[in-house]
Amino acid sequence: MKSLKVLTEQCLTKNDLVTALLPEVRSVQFGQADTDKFKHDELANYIEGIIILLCSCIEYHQHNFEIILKHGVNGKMHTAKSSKLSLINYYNTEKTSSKLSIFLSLINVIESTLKKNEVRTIRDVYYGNVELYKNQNTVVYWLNKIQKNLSLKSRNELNIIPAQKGLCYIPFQLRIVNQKTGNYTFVAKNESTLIPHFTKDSNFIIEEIELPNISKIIVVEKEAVYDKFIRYHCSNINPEKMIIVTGKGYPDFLTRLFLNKLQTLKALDESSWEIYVDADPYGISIATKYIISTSDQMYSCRKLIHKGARISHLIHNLNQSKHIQLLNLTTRDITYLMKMISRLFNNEALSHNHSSSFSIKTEIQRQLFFAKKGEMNALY
Amino acid sequence: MSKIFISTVNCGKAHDADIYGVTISNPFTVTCSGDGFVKLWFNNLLDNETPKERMVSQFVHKTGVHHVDIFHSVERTGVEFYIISCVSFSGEIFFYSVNTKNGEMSALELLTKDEMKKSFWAVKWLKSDDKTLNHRFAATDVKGNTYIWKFHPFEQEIDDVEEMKKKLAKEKADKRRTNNRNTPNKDEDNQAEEIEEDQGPIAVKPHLVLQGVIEPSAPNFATAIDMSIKGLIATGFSSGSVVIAQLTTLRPIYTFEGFGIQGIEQNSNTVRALKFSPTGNLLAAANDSGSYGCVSLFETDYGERVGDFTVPSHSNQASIGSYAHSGWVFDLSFNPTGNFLATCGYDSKVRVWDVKTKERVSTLNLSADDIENEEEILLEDELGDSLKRPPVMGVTYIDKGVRSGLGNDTNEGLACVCLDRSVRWFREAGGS
Repeated sequence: MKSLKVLTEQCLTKNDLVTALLPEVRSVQFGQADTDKFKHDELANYIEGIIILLCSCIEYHQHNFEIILKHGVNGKMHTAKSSKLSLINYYNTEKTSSKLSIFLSLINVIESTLKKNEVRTIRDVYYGNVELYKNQNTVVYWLNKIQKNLSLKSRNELNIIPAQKGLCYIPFQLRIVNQKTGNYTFVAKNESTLIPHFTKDSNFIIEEIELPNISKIIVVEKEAVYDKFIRYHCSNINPEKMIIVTGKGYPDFLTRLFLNKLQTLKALDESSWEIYVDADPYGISIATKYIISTSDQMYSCRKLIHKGARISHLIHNLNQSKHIQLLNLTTRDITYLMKMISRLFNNEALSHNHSSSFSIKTEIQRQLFFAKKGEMNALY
Repeated sequence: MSKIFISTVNCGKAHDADIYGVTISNPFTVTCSGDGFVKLWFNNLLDNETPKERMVSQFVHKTGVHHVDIFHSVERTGVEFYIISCVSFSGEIFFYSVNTKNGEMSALELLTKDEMKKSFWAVKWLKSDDKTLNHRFAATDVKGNTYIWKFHPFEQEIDDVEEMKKKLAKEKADKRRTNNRNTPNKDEDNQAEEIEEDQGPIAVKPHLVLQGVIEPSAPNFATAIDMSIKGLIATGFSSGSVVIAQLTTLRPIYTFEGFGIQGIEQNSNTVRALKFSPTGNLLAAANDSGSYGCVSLFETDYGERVGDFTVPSHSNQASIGSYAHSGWVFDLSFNPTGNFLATCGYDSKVRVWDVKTKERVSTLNLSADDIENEEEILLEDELGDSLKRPPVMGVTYIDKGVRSGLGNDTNEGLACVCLDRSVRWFREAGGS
C-alpha cells in the first residue's frame, strides 16, 4: 500500500489522484450474447450467480464493481460510458447511485420470484420499496432494460407482470390452459371478474356441454358503463347471452390479448362484436387501440365494430335529456383528431374495407365539424 | 310578406358520406363531402336531364373535405379564373383551376411548403371589383390564427396599398392642377401616365402572396370566416366571439361577444357561420345557444348589434332566450340585393328572413323522402341512424338567371345540402 505522500508525488493532477485512490474494479457483464437465449429455469440460476458474484466481490475481496449493461431500454447498444453502473465512483451523484440500487433490488426480486415460481405484479414490486423506486414507471423502465439485456422475448418471462386491469363477464365457464406448463385458470360463469393472467400461447377452452347462443360481445371503454350493462343484464329474467368486456380506459395488453383469443373461438363466429367508447378524441383512439395494433397482431381484435357513442346521438338527444352535456373541443383535441384521421385513413393504418372504417371516419369528421365532444355515460 | 320557395330539382345520394359545404357560381353548384370528393353540378340542365348526368367529380383527400369556396373572375385581357379551394379534415388546403366549359379540374399549388404545414380549417375568397384592389384569400387555422393572402392573377403584382398611395398622390396633383391651371408640368404628367398604361403583354401566373396573420388573443378554434367588399374580415371562434379586423392593416377593430345564454361551460355558443351582406355594411353571425341556434345582425361601420332573427316560442315569454332554429345553425347566405338572409340548421329547416323587418318570410321543412327519385332516398345511414329529418349543413342563395329552367331567370333561388347526402335546388314562386 502506497502512502498518500507517494501517491501525491506520483499523481500530477487531481483526477489521477482520485483514480489512484479508487479500489480495484471488477467488471460484471449483465446478460449474454444476443444469440444465447435463456431457458426459463436457467434464468433464475443466472441471476443468482450474478448476485453471488457481486456479494463476494464486496465481502471477500473488498473490490469495487461495475455492471455493464450493453442494451438500452429500447434494445439499442449503449455507449461505453452510459452502460456502466458503478458501486463506488468519485463522480457518483445521488441519482446515479440510486440507479445501481434499483437495479440490484430488482434483480433480487426477480431472482426470488423465479425461484419460488411465483408471479408478481409491477405494482407489488413498486410498493415493496416506494422510497427507492419513487415512481412505478421507474420499475417498468428497469424491467424493460433487464429484459433487453437478457435478450428475453417478453418482460413476462421475468415473472413480473402488469397488474390486470380489464374486467370481463362471460355467460359460460372458460378454462385458460398454459400450453407450456399445463397450468390452467378458470374464468367464472356469470360473474364480473378480472381477466386472469395468461400468455400468448395459452388455449381457451369452453367448459360447457351445451353452449348458449352468444349474441353479442360488447367492449366498453368505461367501468361505470360496464357495471350498468351488467346490472341491466342481471335484472332481466331471460337475458340475451352476451360477453361484456372493459379495459377501463386505454386497454392493457392482457385485455387486448383476451379479446384476440376470444376471436379465435369458433362458438363466437356468428356473434356480433361491438365496441362502445366516449364521443371524444380519446374514445376514438381507444377504439382503434382495440381494433388495430401497430406492434403485434396478437393484440388486435379486428372483428370489433365501433357502434358508439356517436356525437350525432348526443346532439339528437340534447333537447330531451338534461344529463347530456357537450363540451367544446380544445385546440389540443382538434390537433389530435386531425392527426388521427390522417394517420388512420391517409396513411391507411385502418384499411378502407374494415367494417369500422366508415363509422370511425364519420365520427372524427363530425366531432371536428361540430367542434364538440361528449361522454358515453349519457346514452348508455 | 311571406315568400314561397318551390323545389325545382333535387338529387339524393349525391355523395357517399356527409356533405359539409355548398357554394355556387355559374356554371356550377359545388359541394364537398366527407367521402373526400368535391363535386361540380352543372346549373344548366335540359328538361329531361338529372343533376347526376351533368356532374363532374374530383377526388381530393382520403380524410374527407369540408369548407369549399369559389373564386370566379374575369381579369384584364379577358382571362377567366374559376378556382375552387377546399380544406381536408387533415387540415390541408387544396386549390383547383376549373375549365368552365366541361368542368375539368387541375390542381394548383398556390401555397408555399411552409404555409402548407399549418392545420387550416375555414377558407374564403374575396373578389374585388376594383382593379386597383387585390383579390384576397383568407383561411383560419385550428389555433385561431387568420391568414390573409393577396391573389395576383398575373406575374406582375399590383399592391393595393401602394396603388392607393399613388391614387391619393394623383388626386392631390389633380387638385393642385385645377387650382393652378397653368402648371408647366402638365405635359410631363400625361407622358408618365401613358408610359404606365402601356406595359406590353401580361403573363398569366396566378399566385398568392401572404399579406399577414391576425393572431387571436388566446388560442381558440377559429370556426368561421368572411370578408366584405368594404375591406373588413370577420373571424368567428368556438368560444363564441367574433373579431372584425381591417383588411388593409389587419388590425382588429371590433370584438362581438356574449351571444346566447351565458353561464356554465356546457352552454355552447360556438360561432358556426359568418356572412357579410353584399354591400358590406351588415354582418350576420350564427352561433349556438345551448342546443338552439341564434342568428344576430351587426352593422359594421360602428360595430353595433342591430338585432336578432328569432322565431316566436314559449321560451320568449319566459325571456330565457330567443333563437332562429331549434338546432345549431350551420350556414347563412344573403340574397344578391342583401334584403333577405337564408339560414339553415340541425332542425332540418331552411329559413328566409327579411333583413329590414327581421321577420321570417319563409320556412322550408326538409324531409329525406322529398327526393324525387325514390332510389336515391336515404332514410337511414350505414350506421343505422335515421335521416328522415336530415340536418341542413349548407345553404346558398342563387341569383336570377344562374340556374336553367322555368322561372329561374326572373326569380332568385336557394340551394342546400343535407346530412341525408342530398343536394336540393329551389326557386322563389310567383312572377317577378
